Amino acid sequence: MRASGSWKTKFRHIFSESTVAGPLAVLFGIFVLLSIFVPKFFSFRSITGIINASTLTGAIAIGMTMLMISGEFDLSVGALMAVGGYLFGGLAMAGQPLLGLLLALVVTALLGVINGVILVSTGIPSFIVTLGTKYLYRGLLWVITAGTMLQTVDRLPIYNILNGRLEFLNQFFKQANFRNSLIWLMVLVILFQIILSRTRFGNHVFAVGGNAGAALGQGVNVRKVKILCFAISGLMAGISGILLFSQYYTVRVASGDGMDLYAIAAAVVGGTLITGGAGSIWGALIGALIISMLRSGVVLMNISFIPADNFEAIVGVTIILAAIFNNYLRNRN
Amino acid sequence: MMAEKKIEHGRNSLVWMENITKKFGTITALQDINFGIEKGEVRALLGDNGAGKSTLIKILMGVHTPSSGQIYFEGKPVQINSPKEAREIGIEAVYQDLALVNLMSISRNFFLGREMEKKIGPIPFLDLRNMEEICRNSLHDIGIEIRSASERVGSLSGGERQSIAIGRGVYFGAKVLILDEPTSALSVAETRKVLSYIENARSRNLAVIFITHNVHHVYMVADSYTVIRQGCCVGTYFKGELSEDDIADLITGDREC
Amino acid sequence: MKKLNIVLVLLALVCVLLSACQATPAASTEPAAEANAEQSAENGAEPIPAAAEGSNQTFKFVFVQHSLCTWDPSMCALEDGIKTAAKQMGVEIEILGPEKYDIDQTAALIDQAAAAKPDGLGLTVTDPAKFKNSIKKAIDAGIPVIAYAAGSGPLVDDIAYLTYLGMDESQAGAQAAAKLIEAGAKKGVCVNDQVGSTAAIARCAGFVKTFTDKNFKAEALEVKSQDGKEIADYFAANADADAVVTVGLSSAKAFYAFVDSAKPAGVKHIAFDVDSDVESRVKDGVTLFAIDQQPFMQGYNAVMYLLLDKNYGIKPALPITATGPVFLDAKSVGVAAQPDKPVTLIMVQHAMCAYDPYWCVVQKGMEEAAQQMGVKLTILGPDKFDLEKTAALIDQAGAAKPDGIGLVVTDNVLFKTPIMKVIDAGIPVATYDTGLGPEQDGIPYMTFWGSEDYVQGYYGGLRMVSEGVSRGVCINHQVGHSGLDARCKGFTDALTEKGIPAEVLGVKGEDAAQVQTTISDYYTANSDVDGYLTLGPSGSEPFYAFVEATGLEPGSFIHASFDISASGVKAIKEGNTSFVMDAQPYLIGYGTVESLVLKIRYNITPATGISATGPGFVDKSNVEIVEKLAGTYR
Repeated sequence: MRASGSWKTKFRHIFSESTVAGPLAVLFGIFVLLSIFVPKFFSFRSITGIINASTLTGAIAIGMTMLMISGEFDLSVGALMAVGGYLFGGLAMAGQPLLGLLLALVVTALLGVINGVILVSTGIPSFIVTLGTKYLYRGLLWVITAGTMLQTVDRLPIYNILNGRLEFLNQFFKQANFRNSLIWLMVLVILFQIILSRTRFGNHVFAVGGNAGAALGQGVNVRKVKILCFAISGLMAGISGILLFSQYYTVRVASGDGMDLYAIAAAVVGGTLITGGAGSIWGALIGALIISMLRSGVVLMNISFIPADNFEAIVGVTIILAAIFNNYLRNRN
Repeated sequence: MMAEKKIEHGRNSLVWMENITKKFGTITALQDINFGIEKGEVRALLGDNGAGKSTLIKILMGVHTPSSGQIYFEGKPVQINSPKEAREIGIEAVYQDLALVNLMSISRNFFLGREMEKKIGPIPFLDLRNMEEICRNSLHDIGIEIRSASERVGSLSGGERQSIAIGRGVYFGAKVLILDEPTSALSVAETRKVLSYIENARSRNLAVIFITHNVHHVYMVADSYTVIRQGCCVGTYFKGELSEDDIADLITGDREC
Repeated sequence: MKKLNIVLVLLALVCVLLSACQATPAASTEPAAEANAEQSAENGAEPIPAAAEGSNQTFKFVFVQHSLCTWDPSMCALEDGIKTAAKQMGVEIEILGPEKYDIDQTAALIDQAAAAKPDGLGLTVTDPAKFKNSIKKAIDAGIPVIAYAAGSGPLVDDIAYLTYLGMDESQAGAQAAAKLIEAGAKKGVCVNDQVGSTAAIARCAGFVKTFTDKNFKAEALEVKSQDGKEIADYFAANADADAVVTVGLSSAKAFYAFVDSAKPAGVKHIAFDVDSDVESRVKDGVTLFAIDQQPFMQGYNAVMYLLLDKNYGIKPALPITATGPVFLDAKSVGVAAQPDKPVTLIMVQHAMCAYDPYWCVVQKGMEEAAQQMGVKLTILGPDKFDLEKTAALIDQAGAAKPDGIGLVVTDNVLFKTPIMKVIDAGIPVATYDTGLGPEQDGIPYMTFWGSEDYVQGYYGGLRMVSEGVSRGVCINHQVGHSGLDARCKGFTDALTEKGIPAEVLGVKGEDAAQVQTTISDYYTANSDVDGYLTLGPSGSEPFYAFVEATGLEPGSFIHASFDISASGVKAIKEGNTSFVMDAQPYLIGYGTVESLVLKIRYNITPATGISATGPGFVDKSNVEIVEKLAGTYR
């Protein structure tokens, strides 16, 4: 009797204390279900496919999560991804890949800072600000590039380093397609998770999102925190653009369109609150994986479907369910 | 007839606000207010809505600057231009909903803005363990018992939350503690608890100013009370001098500045 | 609040500035409300026999026909077309044929011609079975081959020549029948004196089917003589027959003989092919319409397409490039040609080469055609995208009273009035690049030079079928976009028609990683898929990544895509992509000028409302040229 009681409380404790436990359980649950019921799901090609499908969004979701925890949104990440892709790709094609790398990171971070500055100086909600800058940045990109698509057939070594095949793992698993971006992504996830949960800045991010007034009252520089989070969001979008170009050797002005909402969805499914103040980077990654897993599952199930809209609907439903589930877990105390 | 025996404070008081006037555009919120408080004094600040209590407090907290007048702290004239400066002097405020971040743990809240760090190599990290320990200990010293410092503040009761905010102020060496309506929305038992922590703070020689509507609470813990009406300071009195009804009259009655 | 307002105003200003800059990267100073005009003038009515831009050599084309003008007058207009084109385009030609109708000898001539390794070969595919090997040998030797006057197109004939210039015979018969029914016919007869001619048989078949589909009666009547007696007998036996179509000039003669002797009442007649006799009968009202295949156009276009292929790798878009049927009535029949008439053309576009590089390619096509045909050409366009200005330019062009006008139908509501004014003034109008065709646009211009998405998808699908696909998928990266949806529909329709399973896979186009994984999953779930159509780089790039990741070998699948790109060219060379479909903007410009001039000088009417320039297939055969010329001529 007492033993079972303590198990229950332990279980409950894990779920209420850890923000990752819920999403992780959902991920695991869906994985198991799909492995059992969908043929060919449990194969390395599919699994690495799911991981790869999550990389670009996952990178953006890292920055988006941090920003959402601070209580803001960034809808311009898709445009910034394109900007990063053009800067890196363009300069790499011109023979200056490292400069391109640097510029892609710096410029997108700066554009993110601009988002933050507009927010703190005007007080307009970030949703609106970044809705505007999304079109502004894409418009600028359109004008500067004259709408030209960037494409290369040269396979520079830097592309391979960034997003080439991870042969080290692939050799062990048949048909696997692990890519180097996985490593980079893990590094970034770990880095930002540590920043979020183990540094003073991270503490401030949670405070600003949870109760900006209280944070301000305690001497936290709310404006600086938000601007920094926007910079991080922009930076991650730039990284995503770099990874995009490294694997597909192409970037267009329209690249990244829709990534903003996808990243927000990943963050929410991963346990981040829309209202701010709570969330985790791991959760965002898990959220991205859950969504990709569902997409793959639906395709593999081979339901006779009319255009894409069908499986998008299933993904949409799951996002809502996952968010409800996470909320429920959080409130059970 | 009311026996008015005012308590006099001056520049040698812990806090002395002299002839403070605050205008917002054409509206005069405060007119030549004189307000002072000593160490170890628990003062209730009374007044009807719009009388100017919050404005006075905000000036002390550095949120507003007076249009004219001078503030003295520990005998020296000071300019308080921001909450940060107020905190540096030793003035801490505890607002009801703006004191703590509900989603964060007690220790993170406790050290918010003043986090403890330990360096691993060149990089500073949060010293979570130390923070938790100190948090629990100092709250204990005040008389506040918490189960675990990593528990989310949001899962605590209203009274517990207030107490943590108070404990934080005390720990970080506040000399003046300002509480805004600390006991409204609390149950009787909780109110008692909070009032006991205020007592504890007083016993550590802090000055405590709390804004309240509840005259009864004045009687429970305040040494004295200041009544403000329509931007004017009616006066500061020892408790016990006036009956509750008299106080009510003071708050609402007509009175020229 | 004040700060907020200032920032808002600044933001608004920036946005306005940006949208103003959208189409013009360079600031243009504009003196008045008049739009900026681009002038491209060609002087002289004399056709300048200059070699095509970009090539210094003179090409030699050989034409092998089943009959020659010298003994078969019906070929004279055709040979005239060949010679005219050759002179204008600066190519050497040789026309070969037997001394009398002899299929075997014609086949031998094809071998002979091919052995001499000409730069291009044109021929009549009178007997596809007999000619197949000879033609195949020529194609395999790298000689571009084009068919005219006889044939059914590369797909039906199963020989991979460029295109068949002529008519879809059964369609022509069907259209004739439709016109007769419209005129009140209830029982039709198709008079055929060309026994064994597949074209004649097809014409009658189409004719009969149209009648029977509408629950009327119709049949074919074989005649052997030209005296009309067999027809007279038929009408005696079938008093209710009231409509006749004659498959050729000789059967027309037979019919006219019958008419002259029996003088029947209320018999409506349509004649295939035109000569002076038919012309006068049409003028007299005996014959409602004469159907013209426009053999001059066949000959002219044969040279034109061979040269375009040699110079730019441009391919005719459709398996059958229709030169007919064109229905000539009393007004339009027998109009004399004016080959040396000086011609002035004005083109009106909604964008210009100066700020949109796509239009530079179109313009090059126009200029070359103008230069070859010796016509004066002016191109007008606004200095930034502005529909109102463009409409005003159309009016301006019309007021200048040129011999012909080419224009874009960017907005078929806004442009309708100015275009109608021009048409009503009697100026021939051809449209290009943007438009839906005269029927859908509701404006009766001659033809539209451009491509339709559905058609491109359809013929892309048919080509994939001919390459042996057994299960196809169309990867649509933007479901809901009507153009892309149409491409996929065309593709799946084509495959389904041929009994091959095909479906559409919708993917999220802007997340390349997700697209790749979705394609990979689809392949995992349907491993028998071997035909993939992507609609542009959004789909093709992830597709290539998928191929690389999955390790599929070239040859184990067929991939096709739209739009030329560097990676597409690479993939074609490596065998990962079988063909890419291009809208061939050069041909858009070239064709518009060409069709206007042919109309003005030779009264040749485009046979179809839409003159397709796409799908222009880019495959191993022309990928090198295309790569070299991308952005300039392609």
